[in-house]
This record gives sequence, C-alpha cells and structure tokens, in this order.
Amino acid sequence: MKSEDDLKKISKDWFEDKVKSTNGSILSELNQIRYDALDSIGKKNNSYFHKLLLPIAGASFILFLSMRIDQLGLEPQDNLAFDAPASDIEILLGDESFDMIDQLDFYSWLEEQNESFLHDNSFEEVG
Amino acid sequence: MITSKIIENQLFLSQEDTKLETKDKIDSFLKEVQVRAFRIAMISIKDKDESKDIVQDSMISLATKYSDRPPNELAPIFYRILFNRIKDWHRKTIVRKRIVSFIGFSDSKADPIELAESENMDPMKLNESEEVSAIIQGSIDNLPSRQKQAFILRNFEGMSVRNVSKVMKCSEGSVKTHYFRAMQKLKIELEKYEGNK
Repeated sequence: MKSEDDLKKISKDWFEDKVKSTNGSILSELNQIRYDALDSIGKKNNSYFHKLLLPIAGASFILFLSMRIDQLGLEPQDNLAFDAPASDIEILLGDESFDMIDQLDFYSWLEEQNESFLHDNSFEEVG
Repeated sequence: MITSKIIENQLFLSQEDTKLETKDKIDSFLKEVQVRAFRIAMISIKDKDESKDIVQDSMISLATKYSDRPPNELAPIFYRILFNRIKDWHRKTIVRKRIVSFIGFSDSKADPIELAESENMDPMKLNESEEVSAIIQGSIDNLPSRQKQAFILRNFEGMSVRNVSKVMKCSEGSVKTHYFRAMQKLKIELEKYEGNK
C-alpha cells in the first residue's frame, strides 16, 4: 500500500528523469527558440492583423469579382464582333439580299466593264 | 538646451536599462522552464517537432504580451499559455482526423515503436523501473484533461494550489478535487502492477 508521498515521489522522479535525459540537440534547439522569443520582446504583436488580413482580402476579392461579372452582364454590347453575326442573320433573312446574291456574278461583271470603259476613255483623252 | 539633452539621455538610458532588465527576467525564467515545458508537451502530444513548436509559440506569446509582468506571475501565465496551445493542438488533430476519414484516406498510423522514445521501448532492457515508467505514462495518458493539468502542475512543477487555480481558471477547491482524483487513479494503477508481480 503506497502512501500519497510515495506516489508523489515516484511520479516526480519519473518526470525529473525525463527532463535530465533530454539530449543535446533538443537542448540547443530549445535555446535557439528561447533566443528567438527574447528577440520578440517589445515587438508589436501583429497576429490579430495577420489573422484578419486573409479573410478581408478574400472577401474583397470575391466582392470585386462579383461586381465585375455584374458589369459585364449589364454593359451594352456595341463591339463589331457581337454585331456582325446579328447583321449576317438580317441579310440572310431579308428577301432583297437573296436577289443580290443570285445576281452577284452579274454585278461584278458590270463593275469590271465600267472600270475598263473608263480606262479606255481615259487613254483616248490622252491621245 | 544642454540640460534638456542631458535629461533626454538619462531617459534613454533608463529605458534601455528597463529593456535589459525585462530581457534578463524573461531569459532566466524561460531558461528554467524550457526543458520542463518541452517534456510536459511531450507527455501530452508525443511528437518532438510538434512539442517544440508549441513551446516556441508559448515562449513568444509570453515574451510579446506579458514581458512587463512581475516574475512571480510569469509561471502561471506561461503554463496557462502552454496548456491552451496543447488543447488547441488536440482540437486541430481531431478536426484533421475527421476530415481525413470523411475524404476516405486512411490516416497513416505510424509504428508506435518508432514513435516512442527509444530508451523505454527496448524489450530486452525492460526492467522494473521502466515498467513503472510505462505505468505512470499510461496513467497520465488516461487522465481527463483537467486532472492531467492539476497533476502535472502540482506534482511535477510543484506549484501551489493558488497558482494552479490561476492557470486552470477555477477555484482552489476544484484544483484539489482534480489532483486528488488523478492521484487516486495513479495509485490504483501502481497497486495493480505490484499485485501482479
């Protein structure tokens, strides 16, 4: 039957043995840790700032992205890349445009004739 | 003009003296407790690197926030920080294990023989004192967190009931109860071992 003092002594000795058996490499690491801690005396603790920085930056980035997406959705699309397919469709759907396409060869021939006629006349004027 | 310069210099020197005194005070305290704090962390965590990180966090926290406190207040504050860090580590480990098991990866269980300190685990060298050592370690492992804190602080660190109650933020009566229960459990385990011999 062990008394409380015996138990205290056994467990205390066990812990002190553990402390004494700590090897040199751990001791030197702990010394280095202590020096680092001593260097931090007097320095302002910015941990709260760092803890808040990431969530605030993340939230503002998401807000910025959502605003940009909204703006893209609302802006009038007035560039040619978006207009061109709409006008093509209009031409294709219009009755007149089909007539023009059917007689495209004729119109191009007519244009060539006009050009050669003007060319011939200009030479005649020179001569 | 000259007198104001002298006063400025004296003020500067007195500030430097205060800084040095503070540094010396914290240094001598940390020097005294660093290995003990590491061993306390090892008892609870059983991982050298994690224990070192916890001791480092505790030391830096003490140095940055509480360096102006009187020397007799440093020990309760430091051990309070240390036990809070250990508690945080356990919480994080539980969450990490839950996430790992939820995802479906098997949490790689390291070989306990490799994890344990070599001096305790060689079966050929296992003698009576090492068996007692294993029983004490096992008994402490099985203690609830509050009983463990009371036992470590009262028995290993020799702190007064009053200071332990400051660390644990509870009444002195509660400290006595936690400590008594921890001692009872250790007594039962050691008596069981002696009965089986």
